Amino acid sequence: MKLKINGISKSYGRNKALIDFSAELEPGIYALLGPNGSGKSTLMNILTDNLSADSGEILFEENGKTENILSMGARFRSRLGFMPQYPGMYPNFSTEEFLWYIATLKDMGAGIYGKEKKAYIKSEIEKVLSEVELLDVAERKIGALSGGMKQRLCLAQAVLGNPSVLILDEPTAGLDPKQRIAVRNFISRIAFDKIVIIATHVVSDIEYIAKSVIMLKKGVICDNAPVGDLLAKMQGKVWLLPCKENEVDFVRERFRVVNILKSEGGKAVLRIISDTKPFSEAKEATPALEDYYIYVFGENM
Amino acid sequence: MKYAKLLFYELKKLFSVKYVKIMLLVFVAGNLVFCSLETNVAINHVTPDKAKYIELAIEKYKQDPDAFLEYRESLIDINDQTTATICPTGEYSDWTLYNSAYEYCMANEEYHDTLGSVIGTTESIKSNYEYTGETDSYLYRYQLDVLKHYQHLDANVTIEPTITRSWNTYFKYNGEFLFFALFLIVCTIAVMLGDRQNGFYAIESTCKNGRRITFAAKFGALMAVSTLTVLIFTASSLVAVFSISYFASPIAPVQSVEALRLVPYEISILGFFAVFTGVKIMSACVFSAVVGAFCVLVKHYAFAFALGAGFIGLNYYVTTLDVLQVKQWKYLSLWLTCDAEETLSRFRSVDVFGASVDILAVFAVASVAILALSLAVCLAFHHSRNARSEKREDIFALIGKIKNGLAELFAKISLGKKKKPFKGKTSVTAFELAKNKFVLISLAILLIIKIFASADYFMPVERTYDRLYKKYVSEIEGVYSDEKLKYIDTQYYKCESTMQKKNSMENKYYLGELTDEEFEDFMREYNTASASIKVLSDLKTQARYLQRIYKFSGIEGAFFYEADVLHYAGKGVDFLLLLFVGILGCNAYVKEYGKTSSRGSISQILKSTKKGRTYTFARKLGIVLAFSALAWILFEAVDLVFFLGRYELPPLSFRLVSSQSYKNAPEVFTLANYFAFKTVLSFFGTLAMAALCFAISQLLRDFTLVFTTAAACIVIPNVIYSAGATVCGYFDITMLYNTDELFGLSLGASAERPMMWLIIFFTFALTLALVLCAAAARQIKKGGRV
Repeated sequence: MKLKINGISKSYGRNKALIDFSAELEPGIYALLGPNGSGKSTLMNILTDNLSADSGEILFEENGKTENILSMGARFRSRLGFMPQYPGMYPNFSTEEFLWYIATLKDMGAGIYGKEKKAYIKSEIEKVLSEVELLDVAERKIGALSGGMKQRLCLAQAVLGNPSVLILDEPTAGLDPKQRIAVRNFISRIAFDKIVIIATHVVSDIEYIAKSVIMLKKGVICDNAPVGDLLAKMQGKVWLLPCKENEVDFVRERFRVVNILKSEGGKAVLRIISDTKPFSEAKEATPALEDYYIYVFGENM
Repeated sequence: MKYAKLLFYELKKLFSVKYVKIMLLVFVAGNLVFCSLETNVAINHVTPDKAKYIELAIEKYKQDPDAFLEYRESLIDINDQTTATICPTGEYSDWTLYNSAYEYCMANEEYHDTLGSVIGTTESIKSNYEYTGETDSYLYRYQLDVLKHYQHLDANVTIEPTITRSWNTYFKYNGEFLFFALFLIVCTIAVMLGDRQNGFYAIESTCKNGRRITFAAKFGALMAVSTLTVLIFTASSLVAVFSISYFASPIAPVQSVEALRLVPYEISILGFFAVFTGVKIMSACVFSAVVGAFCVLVKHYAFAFALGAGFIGLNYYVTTLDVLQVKQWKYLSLWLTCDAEETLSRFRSVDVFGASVDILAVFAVASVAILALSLAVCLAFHHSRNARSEKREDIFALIGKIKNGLAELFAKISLGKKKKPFKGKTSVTAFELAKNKFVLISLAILLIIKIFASADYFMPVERTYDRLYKKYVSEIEGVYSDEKLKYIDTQYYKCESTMQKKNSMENKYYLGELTDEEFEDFMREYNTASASIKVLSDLKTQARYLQRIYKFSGIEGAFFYEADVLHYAGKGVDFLLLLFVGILGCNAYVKEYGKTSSRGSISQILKSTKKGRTYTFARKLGIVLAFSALAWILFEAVDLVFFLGRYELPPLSFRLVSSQSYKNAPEVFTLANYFAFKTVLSFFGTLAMAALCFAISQLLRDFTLVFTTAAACIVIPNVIYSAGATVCGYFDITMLYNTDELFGLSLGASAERPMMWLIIFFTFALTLALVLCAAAARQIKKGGRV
């Protein structure tokens, strides 16, 4: 199974949101990383046919057959799970009722009829609610759920029906650290036979689970590689510098400082991104993906 | 200063919304167009070119009135409609110009004659009250006020010969209210609920000045917008009238305008215009204040819109009430306060505890009171809070306790049973029905209102004329025959003879030749005869009509009591049904695209699923049509129940052309098959309207745009048509339901092809509904594709 994105471009008036985006995706997790306004949500909406591209095409290949997703229409959408960045739901529906509705819209259990169908859908809904830890609020109205619960419900509706292509736009927004880890692990577990595209600007969400990271900057791909390859590029560019607290501003004016760790006695340790060793006291550090993110996007720091 | 700044920001927020500006342009353009149409069809409207020549004719009168009158008489005597001595091109004959000028030259004489008549009648009524000793009553005081005003005017006002026809047209135009009321609903919802809608309220309400003072500023912004709106619409009406008609000087007394002869104030046209504009501004402010209070109370745009539209409807309904029942209070309807000819063209006062109070004064006080109340409601209820969580001992805590108590009681009564576990549905239709739970509640509420409205409409009004007509028709009901005509003639002769005896019987009575009883008996007979003679005269006309249609077409027309049948056929537009169908159709997709929270809409998820596009579209459309059909059946059933329970149907086999109201109808129609025909058309027409609203819902998506477009397209042409602009009937989409009116319009449009317009209209409307639904289906299927 492959999803081939060829030369997708999109503009809003004079603002070019996406410029000639191309990628070939196979089963696994792909992270779309970029700051606000880099074109992530635009691409998500084009992939789900909620937005039209100005040019380019998206092809879905399976069992040797390749088709344009626009001509596939409902057939492609039957393989799709989508979690938008700003989802709206029906406040007067209960959690469970909402998922039944989504299951109906997704035509889950096509080919099964009657009580068997209902039993199948029910078990799938319970499974998914359990995964996102919402089983005990299944009967609660959506309007009465907290923000984090709504976010998890939105994720649940996306994965319901075992879609082949899962598109998640900021899936961990509004979640606490424990929930973020749970969601991350959940996505990682289910992704082995799916093409999962996660759009985010929170690096830690995808650092350990993504097969490949696509870096988007002002609508243009600036990198598309596995995490390891990106980290390899950062070898010799990440430094730890111990200094005094009153020297921090001086260093910040001259170098990109990713992190400041203050300790007792007016001392601090700065994590610096620099192509060359910034000071003699600096020691090379093991790079993380966040370092690469700052290296690519943090030119104004 | 702080308040002024906040007010400024509220105005800025409002006018930064694109659809507000679009709606303003659309409604102003609509007002411009309809006012222009009204001006063009106004009787004897005077173009600037024509006015030039009329003024020359008036000059002739001023120079030598006798010669003017003599010449005019001579033109009439010899029926000379061609001689043109004033207009060299001959475009306007002397006949036309002298007759037009005569009207203006004689205006002063006519005015003082009218005043004399009014004063005379009032003096007489006043004397009656003094004679009976009823001087401590509103009616007596009203007579005194009438005398005071009109005697003053009689002594002080002189109307110079001035061409004021255009001002006549302007002040007779009453279409502005609907246009600016609809626009003000849009603005009010945007101002009062916009911040909640876009999620900004969460931030605003946590700021120091973000609550009461902000809502006070919002209220102030509404008043400013209302004022500005009225000025814009007034300007557009003026442009419409005076771009077509002659601009007459506004310094003449307002009584020189024909429609305003009896204005009870000594004021110029300009002064009256200023007062009238002020009244309109006040009406607009009251309207938006009330709608603003609705917004604050319900905090939901759809309900607020419905309440606003309902408030327009209520004001319109008041205008239809009989003034004998509701007295002059009727003229406080906002619809009528914006109608100069109806409300301000004569002295009106209201009975306030026996005192006669000028209607303008009552209007001013009532308006201020409503404004103050609305402001109080806005300030009290703009911010919803759980009163129980606060240690408050004031009225709001009490209201909160009552509200919570009712909610708990309701929960116990209706949901007190254990909550049923959700059983699971696998049908998109079932979920769409679940999303439309409010539909059944709305239908039930509207049905209850419909029952009262229908009971009121079909309340038989027993007038003497109708009673007599029924009596005579029951004697001759059936196909026309010469014997029946003879019967009518005999009865007519009998009545005539009785009436001719009156003088002699009165003389006999005064001479004592008749007893009181005998005279009373005769007078009863006389009164019946004088009432019957009108009926019999109409029956003779009807008989001659039936004779004629038999002679020329061989159709056997029949005598029957038409009034009941015409009353049923002419029940007009059922705005309750339209309201239901409109909201049902318009809300279908608006709720999917509307933001259910500050976060976003469900539409993105919906459209990314297999069945979320055309499959859901088809089911939604099916539900809209099904509920519209159900509503139509229920509403028609209510009407039929009341009609059949209180009226009698004539034999339905009689030909429709027997009634002169349907004289151009196709010969084949009997009453039965006409009713069947119109019923079927009305049913499909209602479904077509529902489909149109549904299509608009998907195509335009934005709540305010969808609802105001639907309201504008459905309501405005109908109201302007009802006000007399016949041309609007050809665009009046309510004709799809009100098929009797459409039938009448079609019959009147072409005698050779009486059904042509009806067929064209219906075909066009159904095609439009199909095309728009197809476009909407295509749009949703293709998703983001352009």
